[in-house]
Formats: sequence, C-alpha cells, structure tokens
Amino acid sequence: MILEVEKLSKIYKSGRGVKEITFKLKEGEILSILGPNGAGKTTILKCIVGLRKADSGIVNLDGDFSYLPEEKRLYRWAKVSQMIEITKSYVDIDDEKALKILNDLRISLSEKVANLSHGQATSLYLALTLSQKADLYILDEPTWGLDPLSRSYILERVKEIPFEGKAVLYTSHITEEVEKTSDRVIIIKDGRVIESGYIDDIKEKYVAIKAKKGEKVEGYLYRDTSEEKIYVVEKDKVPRDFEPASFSMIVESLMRDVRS
Amino acid sequence: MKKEFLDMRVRFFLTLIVMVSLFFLVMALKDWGIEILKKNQVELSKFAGKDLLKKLKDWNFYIYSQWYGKNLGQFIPIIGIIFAFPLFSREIENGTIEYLLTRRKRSRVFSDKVTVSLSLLIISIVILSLLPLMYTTFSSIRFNARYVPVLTLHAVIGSFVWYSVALLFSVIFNDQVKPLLSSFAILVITTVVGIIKPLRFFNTYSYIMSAKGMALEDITYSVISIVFIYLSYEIFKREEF
Repeated sequence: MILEVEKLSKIYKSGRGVKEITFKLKEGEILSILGPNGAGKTTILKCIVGLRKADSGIVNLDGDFSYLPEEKRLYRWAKVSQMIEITKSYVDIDDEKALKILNDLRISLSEKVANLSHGQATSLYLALTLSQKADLYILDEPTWGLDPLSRSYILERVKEIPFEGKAVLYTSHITEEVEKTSDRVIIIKDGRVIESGYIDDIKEKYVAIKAKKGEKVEGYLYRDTSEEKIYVVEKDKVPRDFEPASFSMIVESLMRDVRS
Repeated sequence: MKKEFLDMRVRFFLTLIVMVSLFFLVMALKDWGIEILKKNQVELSKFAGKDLLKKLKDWNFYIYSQWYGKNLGQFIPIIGIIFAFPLFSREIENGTIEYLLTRRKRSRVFSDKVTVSLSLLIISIVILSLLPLMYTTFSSIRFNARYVPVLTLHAVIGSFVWYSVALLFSVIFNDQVKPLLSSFAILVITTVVGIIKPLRFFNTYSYIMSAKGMALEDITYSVISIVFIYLSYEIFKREEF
C-alpha cells in the first residue's frame, strides 16, 4: 500500500472541513476524490502532503510524492526553462518527459511565467509535477482551466502513470473525467464520504426509476418534472422495473441528496 | 539556493546601486553643502556651534558624520527590513509556498532563505561601510579609517536586528504589506522610546552610529536577533498553508 488514510479529520474555525476520511491506495491505481466545490477535497490532499495539520487521524505515505496544488502558482519572474532548473534543484525530474509535455502543449522554454495564460501556467505546473520521479502523484483539479485538447492530452498522461507501477490520487468535480481516468472513487459531500468504491461497482449498485406523482420512493431525486420524478435507488431496494443509471447521474443525485 | 538568489537579486543590486549612488552624491556635494551652510551661518551657529563649518571641511569629519552618521546610518535598519520582509510573506501571498513546501523540507526552505538573504545583507552592509575606504584609497583624499571597523560591526549587527524583526513578521503575516508596516512601526516606536535615557538601549540608531566599542550591546543585539530568527523558524515549522 502506498497510501493509507485512516479517520482523517480537519475542522476549520468556520466549522467546515473533513470528518473521518478513510481510504487506501495501492501501486498501479488511480483513485479519485469527487465532490462539489467546498466539499473538502483540497483539505484532504493538503493534510496528506503536510501543508495542513490534521486534527486527528493517521496518514501513512510510503514513498515519494509529487503534488499539483489547486492554485497553480509559479514564480512570475522566472522563465519556463528556469522553472525546470529550479525544480531540478529540489527534486529528481525526468527532463525528457518535462520537455516533451511542454513541447506537445506548445509552451516555449524562453517564455516568462508571467506571460503565460492561465491554461499554459497550469500546463507548465503539470509538466513539472508529472515529470517528477515519484511513487504517488497527488493532483488537485489537474485539468481546471485547460482547453479541451490540453485536457485530453493531460488525462492521457495521467492514465499512463499506473503502467509504471505508480499511483495517482486525484481530485475533480467533473464526473465524466473521473469516470474516464479512475479505477476507484471516493465521493464526498460536506466533508464526509457519501460513497466509495470501484466505479463499475457503484454503477452496478445504483439504478434509475421513474416515479409517478405522489408515489414515495426510497432513493435520491435526480429529476423533478411536472410529469414525473426520476430517482437513483440502490438496486437491491428496488421493488419494480428500473433502468441503468449513468455514473454522472448517480454522482449528481448522491451529491444533491434530496430524498423523497 | 539558486532560486533564493534569483529571488533576492533585484533587492540586492537595487539596494547597492541606490546606496552607492547616494555615497557618490554625498561626496560630490561636500563643497556645495558647505557653501549653502555658510549662507546661513548665523542661524546655524545657534544650534550647531561655531566650528561646524570648519569641521565639515575636514574629510574625516565629513565622511564620518555625513556617511556613517547620517546617510548610511539611517538606512541600516531600513536595508535590514527590506531584505527580510518579503522572504516568506511574498511566497504566501503569491501562493508559491505550496510549490516550495511540497518539494523541500520546511527546515531546508527556511535555512536556504535565511542563509542567502542574510549573506547578501551582510555583503551589502560591509560593501557600503567600506565604501569610503575604497573611494579614498583611489582618490587624493586622506582618510583616517580608525573608526571604520567598529562602525562596520555596528552596521552589520544593527541591520541583523531589523532583519530578524522583519523576518518574524514575514512568517506571521500572509501578505507583504503587513510585515513591512509592522517592522517600520516597531522601528519608529523603539527609536522614540529610546530617547528616554533609561530606555536608550531600544534606540538602535545610537548604537549603529556610535564609533565607540560596545561589547555588551554587540552581544545583546546579536542574541536578540538569533532569538527572533529561531522564533520565526518555530512558527514557520508549525504554520499551515
């Protein structure tokens, strides 16, 4: 196991934070933490990398990590080539990989960080993070602010990581992205885990049913139109006909958490 | 450490350029300044004594009073503050602290920053303190450098004190303005409080500008600075970002 998190809690003065988060991550696996904005995804990652101190719980990280923060800020006075040099002076990085990513994303080495667009700066940070030699890649919203081409390029690079025997812990609020890249998922809301497991198992666990007006269904409301209501329900609690539910449909319903 | 130097280079070179220019300006304006004072001789003699003008004509008096006692002297605490106030606060404000702390141990980040900035501060102060000596060596001016070693030591320790104060604020605050303003506020308060005789110790200017050997002050100010730096480290080690 490369990462073990047990009953991790961190509550801020505002009362927000995360409560009793537990999960494990092994080599060759991509685990995503999915949740709405403010759910506590970044707090979990910050506690793992040591930027924040957990109130309680255990974090066991066995190996080196490479971290991409949510706020992807680099030194504005530096050139792209200088950022590579600076990063090399701190950690072991694969130059070739960094240069290839930058070249593929058309970022010039002579460009100043201050002159890069938000998406380009994110791409540079990603190039530095993904080319760092590590056992675990911790990526906080890696595709936020990227154009569709860069996004799919980066996702492809992320998907390659497990084949090198390394692991990825990844946060996102984009369900489709998580479904495409991850093996397992943890869905959190208001700092608590509301569902977790292999994506295929979650898709297997829930189904969609249509309810007639006035009919009570033990499930999570997905759509409410004037004619009908659609619920996402645990398969073994379904008393009658159902339809398969898509992953995004399940996630959306669980996050909204409106029950009849 | 390379990154820390790159980060500091503008402050380092700009401080040197401004202060060296100021030195040459002070040297070049000697005669002109004396002429101006001559025109106001009557008023001047009321509060500065009759022989001030005579003394100012002497290069030794002029350099010690106008460079060490005035222009460089008054900038020593300010240079110390300028070198330290953005060290951590800028990284926190700009969000680059996350990049740094997830690639380097906190103790290493702290030691790199302090080592580079303090080394550059000491280099600057020593260069600026020895400037009259270098200048007079290559000119026809005869200068008695008897007090230069003591004044240099006081300038280094004096800047160290204010560096450590600004460093502490730099670790505590999340933006660059607060450490700068807080350090200047403390400088003003301690200087004013130091006017009261029993509290003279608080006025670092009287120490920085003094040409007398002051072993007790040397040690006390150095120890205070080290304590502030240690406190900054302890706070930085526990800080959440």
